[in-house]
This record gives sequence, structure tokens and C-alpha cells, in this order.
Amino acid sequence: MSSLLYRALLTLLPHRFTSRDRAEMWEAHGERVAAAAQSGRLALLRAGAAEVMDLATAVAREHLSGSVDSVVQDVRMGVRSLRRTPLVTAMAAVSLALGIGATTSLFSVIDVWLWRPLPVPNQDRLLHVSLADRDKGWHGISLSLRDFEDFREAARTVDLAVYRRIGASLATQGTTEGITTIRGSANLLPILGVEPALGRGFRPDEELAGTPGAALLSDAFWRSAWDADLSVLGRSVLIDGESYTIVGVLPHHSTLPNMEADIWVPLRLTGAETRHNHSWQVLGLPKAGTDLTVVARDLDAVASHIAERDPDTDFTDADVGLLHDFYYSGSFRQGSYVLGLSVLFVLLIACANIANLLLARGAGRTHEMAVRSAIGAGRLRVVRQLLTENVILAVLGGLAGVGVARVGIHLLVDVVFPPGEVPGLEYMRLDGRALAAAATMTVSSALVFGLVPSLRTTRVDLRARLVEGRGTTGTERGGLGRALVVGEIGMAIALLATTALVIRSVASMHRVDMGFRTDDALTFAVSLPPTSYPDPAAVRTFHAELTSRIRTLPGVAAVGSNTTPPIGAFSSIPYAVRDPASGDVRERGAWYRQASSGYLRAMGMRLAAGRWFDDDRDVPGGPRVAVVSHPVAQWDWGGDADAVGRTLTIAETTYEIVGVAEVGRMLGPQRPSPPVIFVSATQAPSGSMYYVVDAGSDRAAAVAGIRAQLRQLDPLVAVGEVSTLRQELRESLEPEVVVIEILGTLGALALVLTLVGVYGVVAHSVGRRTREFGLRAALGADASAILRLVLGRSGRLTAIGVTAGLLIAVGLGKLLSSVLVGVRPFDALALGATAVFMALAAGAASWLPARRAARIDPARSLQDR
Amino acid sequence: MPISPLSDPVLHILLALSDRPRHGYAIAAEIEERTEGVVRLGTGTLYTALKRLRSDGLIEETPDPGEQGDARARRTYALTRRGRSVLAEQSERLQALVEHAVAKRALHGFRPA
Repeated sequence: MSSLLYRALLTLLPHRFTSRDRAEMWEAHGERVAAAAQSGRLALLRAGAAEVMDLATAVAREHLSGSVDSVVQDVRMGVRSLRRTPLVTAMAAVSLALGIGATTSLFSVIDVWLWRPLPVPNQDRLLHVSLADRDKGWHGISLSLRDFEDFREAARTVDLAVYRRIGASLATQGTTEGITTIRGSANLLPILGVEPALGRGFRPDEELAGTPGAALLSDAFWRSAWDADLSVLGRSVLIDGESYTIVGVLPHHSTLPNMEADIWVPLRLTGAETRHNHSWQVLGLPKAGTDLTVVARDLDAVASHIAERDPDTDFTDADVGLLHDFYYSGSFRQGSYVLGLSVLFVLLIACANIANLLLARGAGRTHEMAVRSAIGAGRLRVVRQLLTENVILAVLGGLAGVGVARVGIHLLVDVVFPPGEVPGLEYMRLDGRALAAAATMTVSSALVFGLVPSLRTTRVDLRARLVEGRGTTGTERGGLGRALVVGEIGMAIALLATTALVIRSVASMHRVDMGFRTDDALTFAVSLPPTSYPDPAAVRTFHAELTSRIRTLPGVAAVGSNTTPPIGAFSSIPYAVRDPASGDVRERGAWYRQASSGYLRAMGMRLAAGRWFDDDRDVPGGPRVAVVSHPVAQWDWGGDADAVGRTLTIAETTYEIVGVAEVGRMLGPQRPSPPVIFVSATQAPSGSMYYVVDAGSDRAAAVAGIRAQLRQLDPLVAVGEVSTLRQELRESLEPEVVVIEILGTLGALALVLTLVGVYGVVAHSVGRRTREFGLRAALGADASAILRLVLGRSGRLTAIGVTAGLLIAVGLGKLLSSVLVGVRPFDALALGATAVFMALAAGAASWLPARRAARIDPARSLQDR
Repeated sequence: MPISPLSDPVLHILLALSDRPRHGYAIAAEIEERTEGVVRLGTGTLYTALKRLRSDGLIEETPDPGEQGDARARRTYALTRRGRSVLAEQSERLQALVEHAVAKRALHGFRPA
């Protein structure tokens, strides 16, 4: 038995052990076993087992040391051989560095959008909760505080937290500044899984109005405003006129995207929260043993129960989803796919370039390979040698690529997109994940660009080569090289055409008639502390006074305000209309906004029928009036003029419709306007208003004037961030703009790499055919005929590549179709312009070598053999 | 060229060949006898080591006077000049090591004068 095993193991020894070696070992083994047999059966068994174990270890050791040796040998030979052709090596490494660098930078973007966990400890379990009315097709309605309290009480399977980002004014030592706050439930931090870095979190009783206020500072604000002072705990600050004690400091990078704020404060619940202020974000953490589907069913039941119990509700269902999908969905996902494909194209173009270089190099090395295989190297051994060289090349390119990626990420994060403009980019960095991606790309690109040329170089009949002398593998190399260039052109054109499509789309978004002004009119939020403005009359007086003071500032042409940002998220409330014919009451939903009498003019909106609010006629306490948007008038009364004079009911208050407004695309250029109902802010004042000021040309002076007026009026109220309507529009287009800028860079990179490839192939083919061109010239072909010959050939390659590329581009455009506005995936102008551009560029790249071919001196080229 | 420390089996093989040439199995038998059965080389270890020693030039094949002319006969090995010097070098290295061990009183029950 043991002898059988021994015999089998002998066959496993490396090839350098000859049959004579094996025979001698077999014989010695026999003697050893025979000697042991004399000492009895046990000794025989023991000796047999020891022999088998010993041989097995020896076999393993021989294989291991052999392979380590030959890898070291391969690497040494590889380095030597790469150093013999420094130019090719450098060009290949630079191509690869650009390819891997671009891919790694973009990997970091896509990683944040698609795969990377959100930067809070409980991120993998956190859910986002919003309200819906599925029958009416409404989704994504934020909760009101009253909704939240009801859900929190009734939910069995999930712990819920609520928060809202609000601008506020902070008064410390006589100065007032505008800050951003997160107002949230006491359990917000535990639900996120975040522990304060200093001090404590909120206590449940601090959620109630009338208790001492507690505040937590963000790490950044603690450092900038308090110089990271450790004794900050226990100090008092005035936020919107209410006193808060600082109880803690949050850790660095501990918030979700768009949750950055200077100070976190708890809710101040009074027990009189309304159902209609839909502006709160709700997070859920499933209790142990439950999951998304269970929570979704639970909250849906809660939603319909609340809707049945309270006729005042404006929803019937709850939507629950993973928090990550809430932040990065839709256009981010599609953008990621398109960017991912595009950057893969760039990497493939780089690989095709390198494969071409290696083919050219391989053609010159057929002789060397023939010698190697003649002296006994198997084909596998030669391929392994060539692959080793490629891996060395890839590692060089990969290392340089990581350097390129460092620069690329820096550009993306700090230069192209300033902080806060694109959600998620603040988390982007060159970390272990990006490096792992770079390593994977390095190794796989080595295989992609290396394997084909390696097999190609060794497949030719090497022995014939050797007999023939230093032949070239011109035709074989030419075919594969041309195919690679066609592929490169195809991928580059797909990328460029997609970029053109997206640019055309964004251009058309800027041209879309928003229905209101998108120029440099100022917009900012003013939020009154409820403690200093407890009743509607005080609020009304404040806004009326502020509006009239701003109107008197030099250069100001119009001032208006309403309760939502100019381009904002949609939330809706129900209203009821009595059918004039049947007398039935129908209920629908619309976006409810309180607006000032100057709002229509300041926003530059048009009136379709009737009139806008008028402070002289629509007085407090008088008949309540409303202005509806065009869709509301169409739905309920069949026409704009027919709506004027009718009534509608919201929360048991009846309003007379005095006008119909064209509100424009208030949700951004891609989406049609939702139904909107404006009510007069004079009749129904709101503490938080978004102002729009047509300030003329001197915006800086206007901003300073507004701040000064506000300081005079009430030093405890601050103006938050001031932006313009143009900026608001731009921000609503963020994902598209990001995609454009990145695609544009990738397209340029692809173009450069491809042109290098086209140039390389044409130049190589001209070099190879020097003799032929010389002969043609000698036989009377003039320079222009040869020029035509060379250019015609590269023109055919370009034509094939362009056709293939346009087909891919249409496919990519389809993938992007939902974010494209005003452009179809088959956009003749975008595709045609790209095709013409590529044809010209490829022609230019071929021109230099073609001209060289045309200038070949027949006498010299024919002698030169 | 300095030789890195050799393994025990390899040193024993060199020692076995230091007085006269032997064939493979005879080397194993000599080692076993000399060490009174403490060191017993398996044939796998023995022959792979012989192969390596030959390619490193420490031993060489030598004609066996008894079985001349037979191509299938067992090969007999002898130390080369280089093999002899490596053996001396390695033995001196070990001797120095043992002297250090003695000076540090690292051996069981060994008390130097």
C-alpha cells in the first residue's frame, strides 16, 4: 500500500528529476522497506509511512522552491527587457497611469453614491420614512410634527427620530449671527448611533417647551467659534431669542449628507403642533428581529389608522425605504452607471493603446522568443515570461495611477465642486477601498492588454522564424492592431457623443422657461423666534415692516416673500371643492403656500386670470382669499377664468379664489409644476418666510442694506445664507452638472489616448511599408497618391470605429434618458457633431505619418534593407 | 561565494561522503549507523538533497569500481573540492556556535572547567 503511494508520489516530482533518479529512489525505497521488514510487521508499517510522508514533503518542497526561483528569474528578465525599450515602457506606463488614475478617482465618486456606507454607525439599519397617498399618486411627503408624534406613539417595530435643518440666529456677547441648526427629537443621536465627543446628548424631557434648553455644538463650529474650548460646556447661548445651555460637542464627521449644521437643539413640543407643516425628516431604526418589510407594513397600518381617526390628515400611507437609497437614488444611480461605463471605456482605450505598443514590441522580439523556445522553454513558459513583463508594466502604471488619482480626487473635491454642492463628495478620499480598486484594475488590465499580444507573439511558428532570420510579423500584427484602434475610436466616440448629449440636455434645461425669473434676484430665509413673536399680529407687523424697509433700499425694484424656497421639494395638503352641478364635495391635494402681496411681481410670475393679493383689499379678518395655479383651475373648474370667484376649503376655512397664476416649474426644470394654492400671508402670517428681492445691479450693497435693516428691526433675528435665483436653479441641476463636468474630462482623456493610438498604428504601418512606398514612388506614384493611400486606410478604420461608437452612444443615451431634458438619445446634432469632430481629429493624427510616407526618398528606402 | 547555513540532513550527507564515495542508499545507511539510529533520512529527502548538492557543485558523480560499464547501475557520489571546503566552513561555524553555548552554560548538565 505504502509502496503504491510512494510510486505515485515519484511521478509528481518536477521534471528535472530524470527517470534514472526515480528508478534509484524506488530501488533505495525497496531496500529501506526490506530492512525494516526484518524487525517485524510494525517496523515495516512505520518505515513505509515515514517514507511516504518524507517523499510527499520533498515533492512539495521541490515544486515550491522551483516556482519561487523561476518567478524571481522572470521578474529579473522582465525588468531587463523593459529597460531595453524605455520609450515604449514609458508611453505604456503613462497611458496606464492616466487610465487607472481616472478610474480610481471616479471609483471614489461612484463608491460614495452607490456602495459606501453613510458615515454614521447605524447606517446599515437606518430607514427613511415619508408619507404618501398611493391612490392619488403622491409620494415623498415630509411629516409634520403632529404626524411624527402619532407615528412615534403607535409604531411597534421601529424606533423613530425626527429632524429638520433650520436657519436660526445666534446671539452671543452682543453679536448676532445667522447659523444653521438641526432641530431634532431627543433620541436622534442614539438612533444615528452617534455618541457626543464631549458632554452628553439630549434627555427626553428636553423635547418639551418650557424646560431648560440644551444645545450640542458641531465639531466644526466648536473649533471655529469657540476655538475648541473645553470649558464651553455649561455656557448659555441665545438661539432665536431662547436661552440654551451647551451640554455637549458632536464628534467630527458624524452627520448624514445635508445634515451639516452648527448647533443641534432638541424639539420644543407644546402639544399644539399642526398636521400641516410638512417639513420634518423622519429616520427609523428597526427593533431587534424586524426588517424593512415588517416595518413598512407596521407604519402603513399606523398611517391608515391616523387617516381614519383624524379627518384633518393629508395622507393615507407611509413609504419606508433604506436611508442610503433616499440620499443617492435616481439620477445619482443613473449618473453612476454612465460614469462607470465611461471610465471603463477610458481604461479599455488605455489598455488597447498598450496592447498595440506591446504588439509592435512583440513583433521585434519574435527572434528572441524563437531562440528561447528552441533551447527548451515551453510555450507556457514564454507566455508566462511575457505576462510577467506586463505585470511589471502594470504595477508601474498602477503606482503612477494612484498618484494621478490623488490629484484627480483633490480636483473633484476642492476645485470642481466646492464643499456642500454635491451630496457625498465631502466623504470622498483615496482610502483602502479606492486603493483596492486601483490594484484590481492594475492586475486585470495587465491581463487584458497583455494576454492577447503574448499569445500572438508566441503562436507564430517560431522555428520557421528562426530559420528565416529576423522576420517581422507585419500582417498579423497589423490586423489585430487595426482592430484595437477601431475599438478605441468606437469607445472614444461613444464617450464624446454621450457628453455632447448631456451638455445639450443641460443647455436645454437652462433654456426651459421656468415660468419665473432665474436671474440674480436675491433670495434668503428669515425665521422669527416663536417666543418673541407669539401671535400672528406680531409676525404680520414684522414682515410688513421688513418688506417696506427693504423696498426703500436704493436699487430695489420689488420685494416679496412666501413660505417655501423658490425651487423646492413638494409637499401637499388636501383641499375640498364642492361640485357646482351635483353638489358633491371632492377632495384633492395641492401645495399650500402663504405668500405676500409683492411675491408675484418679485418672482416675475404671470397671472392667467383674476388678480393677485392686495394688502388694501385682503385685510386680516376680512374674507379669506386664495390664488390657485393653472392645474388646480383646470381640474376643478375646467378653465382659468371659470375658477375666479369660486371657493375651496382647507382645514375648514373657506377661501374665495381671486386669481389664477402660472407658477412655472417650481420643482426644477425636469418636472412639471404641481398644483399650488397660495393664500395671503397678510391674512395667514408665518414666522418663517423666504424672501425674493429684485435688487438691481449692486447686489453686495443690497445684501448689506438688508442685514442692516434687519439688525435695526430686531437684532435677535438674522438673515441666513443669501443666494440668487440663478444659484437656486443651478443647485437643482446638481447631479446633471456633476455628470457633465466629469464626462467632459473623461471624453477629453479618451480623445487624447485614442489619437495617440491612431497615430501609433498609422506610424507603425508607414514604417513597415517604407520599402513599398519607396517602390511605388520609384514606379511613378506622386506624393499625393501615397498620401491618399495612407489617409484612405486610416479613414476606413475611423469610419468603422465611428459607426460602432455611435451605436454604443445611443445605448448610453437611453440609459440616461430619464435625466435628459429636451434631447432624445438619438440626437442628430450631438451625434453628428461628435462624428465629424472625431473624423477630423483622427485625420489630423494620421496626417503626420502620412506626410512622412509621401516624402520617402525611393533611392534610400530601396537600398536600406 | 559564501554559503548560507546548510540544513542538518545536508550536513550529514556531506559528512557521510567525507571519508569515501558512496551510492545513495549507502549514504543513508552510514548516517543511520553513525548516529545510532537517531538520524534516519527518508529516501525522498535523501535523493532530492543529492540532486540539489550536485547542481550546486558540492558533490559529483564518480565511477564505482565494482559495477563498471552498466548504465543502469546506481550512481556513486563523492565530495568535490568545493563541497569539502563548504563542509569545513559549516563545521567551524557550528563549532563556534557550540563554544558560545558552552560559555553561556546553555547545555544540559555541562559544567566547563
